[in-house]
Order: sequence, then C-alpha cells, then structure tokens
Amino acid sequence: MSFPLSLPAGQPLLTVTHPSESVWQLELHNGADSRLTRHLLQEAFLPALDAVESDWKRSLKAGGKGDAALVIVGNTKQDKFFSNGLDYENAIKQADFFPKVFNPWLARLLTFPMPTICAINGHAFAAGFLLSLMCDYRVLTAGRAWCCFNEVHFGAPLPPPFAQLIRVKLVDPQLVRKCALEGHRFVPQELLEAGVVERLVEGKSSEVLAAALELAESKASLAKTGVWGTIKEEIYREVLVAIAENRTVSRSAKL
Amino acid sequence: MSHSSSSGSSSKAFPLGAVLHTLELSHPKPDLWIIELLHGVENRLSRLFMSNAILPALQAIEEEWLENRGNGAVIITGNQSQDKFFCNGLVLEELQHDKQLTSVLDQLCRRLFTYPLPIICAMNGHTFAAGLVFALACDYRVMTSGKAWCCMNEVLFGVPLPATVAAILRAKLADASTLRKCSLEGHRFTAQECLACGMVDELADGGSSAVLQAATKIAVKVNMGAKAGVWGLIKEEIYRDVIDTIDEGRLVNLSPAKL
Repeated sequence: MSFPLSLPAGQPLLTVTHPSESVWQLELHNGADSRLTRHLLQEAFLPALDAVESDWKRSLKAGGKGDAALVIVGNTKQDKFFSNGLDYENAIKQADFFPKVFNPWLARLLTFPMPTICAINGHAFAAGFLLSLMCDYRVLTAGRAWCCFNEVHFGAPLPPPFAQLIRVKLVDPQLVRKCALEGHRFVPQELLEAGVVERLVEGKSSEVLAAALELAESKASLAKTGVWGTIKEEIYREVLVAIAENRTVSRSAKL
Repeated sequence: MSHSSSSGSSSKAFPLGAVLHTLELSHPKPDLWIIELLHGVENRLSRLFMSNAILPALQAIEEEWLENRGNGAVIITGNQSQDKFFCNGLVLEELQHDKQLTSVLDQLCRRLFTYPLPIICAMNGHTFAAGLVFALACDYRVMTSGKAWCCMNEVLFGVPLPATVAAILRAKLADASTLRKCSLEGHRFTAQECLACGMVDELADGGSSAVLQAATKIAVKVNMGAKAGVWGLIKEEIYRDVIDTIDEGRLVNLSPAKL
C-alpha cells in the first residue's frame, strides 16, 4: 500500500495519507463542499476505508504495535466547508442509493475497527453533519461554521438510519429534538457545551486537522485488541437494525 | 361552562353534538390552535373523552392546517377556570372493567408522536400517571412554577406500567436516574425538579393563563417546523421505539403479583 492514495484514480475526490505509524488521514476534496455523491462513496470512500484497514492489518502482521486511528477532514485548501451532505436531488432519484450505497457506507464507517476522529473544518449540513456523527470523536473549528440537519426546513423526511444515529450519538431528548426536529443551526460553542464535540480549534483548516491528529494519536492504542468495531456494533445496534429493516419514509400524497 | 377565550375566529366544542362539552378548540391566529381540556377540573382520560373529543379535535386541526399548509402549532392545556390540575390520568373505575382502555391511550399517544404540527403542552397543574404520559407525548412542555407535581404513581397503587408507557418514559427521560425515580420510585417531581431533569422545557410563574401565555411564546418559536410537511415523519423515526411498541400491542399483565 503506498500513500498518498488518491481516489478515484484519474479524478480524485479524496486523498488518504499515513502521517504517522498509528494514524491514517482521509481528506475529502470533492470541490470545496465535498458533496457525498454516489460516485464518491462507492469509488472513493469505501475503497479508502478498505485500504486503511488493510494497511493496519499488514503492519500488525509485520510486527507493529497495532495502534490505529483514522482522521477524516474536509478540503483543507479552504476554510468554509466540511461537507454539505448529499447531492440530494440526484440521490432521491435512484431507488437503490440508500440500500446499495449510502447505508452500507454508513454501517462501515460507524463500525470501523479503529477510533475515527472527524476534523470538522467548516459547515456541516445534513449528511455532512451525519458523517461527523458517524465518527467516534469530533473536533470543530471555533470559527464561523454551522452544523445543522436542515431536512425539516426543505421538506425531506429523515431516513430511519439518520434518526437512529442522531439518537444514539446525541442521546438527550431535548438535544435530539433541537437537532433533528427543529433543524437548529448549531454554532461551535453550542456543540462544545452539549458535549457533541471534544474541542474547538482556533485558526484555519490546517489547525483543526492538527488538533484531530493529536487526538487520534491519543486514542490509537484502543484499536490494538481488535474489538473496537465489534463493540460499536452493539452499542449502536439500533442504527444497524434500521439499516437492515430498509424501510423507506416518504411524504404522504396529501402533503 | 363559559370562560374567556382570545379574540379571533369562533371556537368549537367537543364532543360534537353532545350536551356536555369536554373540550374547546380555538384558533386565535392563522398559525395557532388551542385545545382546552374541560373534562371536569381533573381531566381524567376516559374512553369517550379520548376518542370523541381529543382525537377528533386533533383531526379537525390537521384538516384545517392542510388547507394552507403553512406554519402551525397546537397548544393543549387543562381547564383554565382553575389552577390546580392539568390531567390526573385514566378514569380508574373505567379501567377496572374496560381492560382495552389502555389501547385507546396508546392510539392517542401514537397520534401525538406522529402529528404533523408541533404540540406544546401547557401543564397548568398536577399531572399524574397517564396525564404525565400524555404530556410527555407532546413535543414541548411548559409548566406552572407553582405547587404542582408530576408523578407516575402506578408503583404506589400496584399497577405495572404498560409497555407503551415504559417506552415513552424511556424516549423522553433518557437519564437513567430520572427514569428510575419517575417510573420505579413514583417520585412526586416538583415543577423545579421537572425543569432540572428535562421533563419540562420551561416554567411559567402564575396560574393557568400565565402558563398558556408562555406556551403561545413557544408556539411562535417552533411553528415553522410544520411548514415543509415532514415534522410528523421525522418524529416518527426518532421515536420509532415508541411507535413499534404501540403497534406490537404487547400486553403487560396489569394485575399485581400474588404475594
């Protein structure tokens, strides 16, 4: 495995690097706001996760400690966006997008066998905010960035796995209500106070990334016994159940 | 039973066609409906009250809202001519010979948990047992700061909690020690305790009309949630555990164990 690894080959939308023995880094750069398109998830993100996992296993076999952590960051050549979520119009046109692409990717990242740290380096909307919640830890820019599930405002129901993920990660009923039902635009200070993010970081994307890498180093030893992902499968079971049920929610005709 | 209602379009009384009205529905502004419960002062939830007054009133509101589909919110409050009670639960005598009564409560809760408009419960007094379940099934709660308690007192008089009720408590009281205190200890939560543990969102100083006023302020802040038409659908998924529990219809044996 050689890094940096840019995927897909030819027109890369993300790049994986291996900045230290224990830490891998995945930078999204699908334009500035890194929409999570079918193409990006299928041809870039999922293969990237496989590449990181297999590189970790290779280093274990080669006698390494087995420490491992993955940092996910948005496009570091700008400071405005982390990810604005799905290319919604196209996503809902494809009947198999959620069952065949999005949900498997969600399950894969949610239960990834090493600590995952999201460097939220800008605005995170809808599935972009969801991506950060799929990770185990979050550090967030202290600057002007909103995190928001705006589905209630533009009239999209929340797919069951989205609703369950928000519930299992945010937990507090009033916070879940504010986030999922009110579509509140959280500013960084609010997320720190609510315990949704570990740290706020002053400065540009590179500073946010540096803080995430530091946090990753401090958590990487938790991967080495090999049960990190399996434990997550159980504590976040409702999300996986919602994925398995594969129910679609659609607005009724009367609306 | 006449009482002041705010200016605006005329109010409707439920049950329709009945001699004795137990609910009054008013529509003081285009984006606000108010349900005042008038089943005596205690507002005990009987089968008739739930099926022929509360549920039809909610239906009437939804149909009216669907005409314009804009911002909208519903306030449910207790009898405004007194300041002691919001709702004291089921009619116990009825429960004794109508074992299906809890299914009607289930359907009322299901409706509240999937309702397309934000619902604010203006708890203008004591809120016990099924009355607390009803309040928790609403989206927001504002309570009088005065001498009023919230309490699940089933443990104290020997009735287990139906599966639905347990699911609702778990959904709205996620903190483990609050859940234990409420469901297992039958603790009487004061208004201040309710606020501190997140059981209610706000307290209002004063009597029933002050609580109603506070609820109207909340309504203004949240009524845009209805507009895009997915409020009820999002609720249904967040509270999937409650909905599934209701739909399963699993009955908990309501007779106490023989000791």
